[in-house]
Amino acid sequence: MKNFLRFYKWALDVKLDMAIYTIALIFIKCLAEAFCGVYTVNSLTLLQMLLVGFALAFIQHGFFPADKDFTPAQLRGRTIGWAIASNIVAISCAVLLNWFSGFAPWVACVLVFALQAALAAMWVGIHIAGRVDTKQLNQSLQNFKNK
Amino acid sequence: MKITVEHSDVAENEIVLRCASLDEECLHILALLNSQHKKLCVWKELGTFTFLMPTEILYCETVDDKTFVYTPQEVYQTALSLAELETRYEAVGLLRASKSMVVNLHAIATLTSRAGSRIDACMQNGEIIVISRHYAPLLRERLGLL
Repeated sequence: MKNFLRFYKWALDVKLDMAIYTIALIFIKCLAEAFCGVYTVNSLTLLQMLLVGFALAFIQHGFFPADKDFTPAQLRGRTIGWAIASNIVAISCAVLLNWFSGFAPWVACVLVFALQAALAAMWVGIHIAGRVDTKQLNQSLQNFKNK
Repeated sequence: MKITVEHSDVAENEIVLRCASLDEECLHILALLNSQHKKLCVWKELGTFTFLMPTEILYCETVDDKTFVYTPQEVYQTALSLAELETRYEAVGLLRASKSMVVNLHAIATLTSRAGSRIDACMQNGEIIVISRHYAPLLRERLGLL
């Protein structure tokens, strides 16, 4: 039962990040299509993006498990590995599944740049924003106990 | 606030609170003193009762309409509901963590911010209690972060 609850909690965290990645992919797709005057997205594409979103979330939680702390050197290594793996999955799926076919090469550069920006934002959210909040919570907890 | 401790030969300890008027600070102290002495009646098996100090509680949980009280060594059952525990012992640090759990803030070792506005509370015995996103703002308010 304990293992099941641990898995369920892990799945809750992964699903949240999966949703973020999926929405980001769909948003970029919709934006790119809208610029070309197309206002529909294939439902199969949406499903594919959901699955790729899951894969990206799975990779993220594989490289950055929530219950582990890393030294700066470990974090650096894991960040590089995570960035490479995420780029490979996202770009190869976009190419193989023809999500952005028919666009000019410069659009591909913009999309790749947008992907890096999104990954950077995720990294900041995981490693900086969360840690600052945790530090604040623990400081406040100590102040509360010492009152 | 001036705190004075007088040693004297008395049969029972006495606390005298001198104040010009009962302000928030004094009311908080009174509530705290009152709660400290309200021992909680619990049992492990019917017929064997124990009286726990609120400070011994790690957290309380309801399962199948029964309320269980967890201390570092034992698990007891109590007749009080979570709402009653929360109200009665709020001044000593009990706070609702989720629909079925009340946690003692003084028994939390560390807090960790999690995705989805949830907070993980690592208790003194190593157990992790998840404070749900609905109750996390209450915790922040209690800690003075909101």
